Amino acid sequence: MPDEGARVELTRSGGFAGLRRTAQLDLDADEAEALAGALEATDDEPEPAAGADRFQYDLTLVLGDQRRSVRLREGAVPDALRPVLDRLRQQLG
Amino acid sequence: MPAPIIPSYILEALAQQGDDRVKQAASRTLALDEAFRAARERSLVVPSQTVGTPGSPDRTIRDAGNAETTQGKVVRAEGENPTGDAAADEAYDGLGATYDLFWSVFERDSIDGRGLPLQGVVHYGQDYDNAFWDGTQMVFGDGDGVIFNRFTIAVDVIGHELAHGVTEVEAGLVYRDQSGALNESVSDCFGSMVKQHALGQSAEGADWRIGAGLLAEGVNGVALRSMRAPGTAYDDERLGGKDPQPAHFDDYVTTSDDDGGVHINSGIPNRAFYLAAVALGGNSWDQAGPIWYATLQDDKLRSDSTFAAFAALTVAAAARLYDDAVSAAVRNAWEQVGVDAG
Repeated sequence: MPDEGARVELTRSGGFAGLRRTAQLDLDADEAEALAGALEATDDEPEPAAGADRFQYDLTLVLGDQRRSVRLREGAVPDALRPVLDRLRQQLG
Repeated sequence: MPAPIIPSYILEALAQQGDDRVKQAASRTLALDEAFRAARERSLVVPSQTVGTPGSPDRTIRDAGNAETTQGKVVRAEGENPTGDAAADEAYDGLGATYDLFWSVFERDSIDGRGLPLQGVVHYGQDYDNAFWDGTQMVFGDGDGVIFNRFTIAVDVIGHELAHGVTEVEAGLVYRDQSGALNESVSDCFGSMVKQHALGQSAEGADWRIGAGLLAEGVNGVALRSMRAPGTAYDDERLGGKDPQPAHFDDYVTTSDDDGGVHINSGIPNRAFYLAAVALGGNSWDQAGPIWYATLQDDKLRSDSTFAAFAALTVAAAARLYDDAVSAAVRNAWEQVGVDAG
């Protein structure tokens, strides 16, 4: 696990307005490793959530030239990813 | 899924999670569903059975208290006086206006056609810029106050959310790519009809905007979407630039965002509905609305329908309900947005 250059990117899309919003956070090595583990345990192409007009979250861990992405559904976000998602969401405005 | 049956998983969730009245209603509906399914297997005709009084809604508005929860205190139940809270009262009135359109025009008793109680949640989340249908209820955020006002401010948004429930029951249009954009468009069509019906506006006189009033003061835009002229509702950096909706199938947007651009590509079928309604004259709910509603109820409508397949069913419904001239007008509306109705 490299100790620099790690970051996580978020794209939020969908919702009633259908707007696209992005945010990103730099991560330290421990955070990056924890997130990599959490992403590994996450289904990266979940079925559309029940209902309609909910947000779609595409979360990408960037480690040097490696990228690992998962798609999350508002209302069905795994607990392990909730803290990082909440931090990123605060930046979305 | 043509039968007016709310999926049993929704009813089971309601039977477990709602308040007592909802639990009872859901349990009754589940029992009716079982009876209905059993009877259908025996090929018997079932007399229509309803929950509550047909022709009057059964609304409950909850206040989430700015948490991301659909629980929360009931602030207004059916028949109660206004609360003085704009979001709660707008949700109550908007659900009433939506129920009224479905009942008085389409003779449909609520989301499931059998009087399902209408559950609304307001003040969801903190500065939450969205409204959604969660599979059982209609949920509204307050907006951030800078770009978005509260989402109950536009009655068509409320109608849009309730219509998602109707689409789920009738057609189960998969919320992805073309079928997802159709699902979105159907909600805009019915949401817009709710507004026009409530205001007594003709197809010609209506503004055909979705979410008028939703953009906060100072934002460069008139609404979130325009059914008449998709792509022209706003142009503001804070919304990511210009309204991205295409008005023609040649400009269909392929993207992995937003379940395949369901809120973007809905502009194409939205405009077809607008063009059909204006060509047919009078009110949107006189002929265009019933044609789209019949299409939603058509056994031949697949859950993964394309625009073209949906269009063909509207043309057929127009001929079935009305005549060749109406059918030709509907076909022409689709042609103008680049969709071949076959």
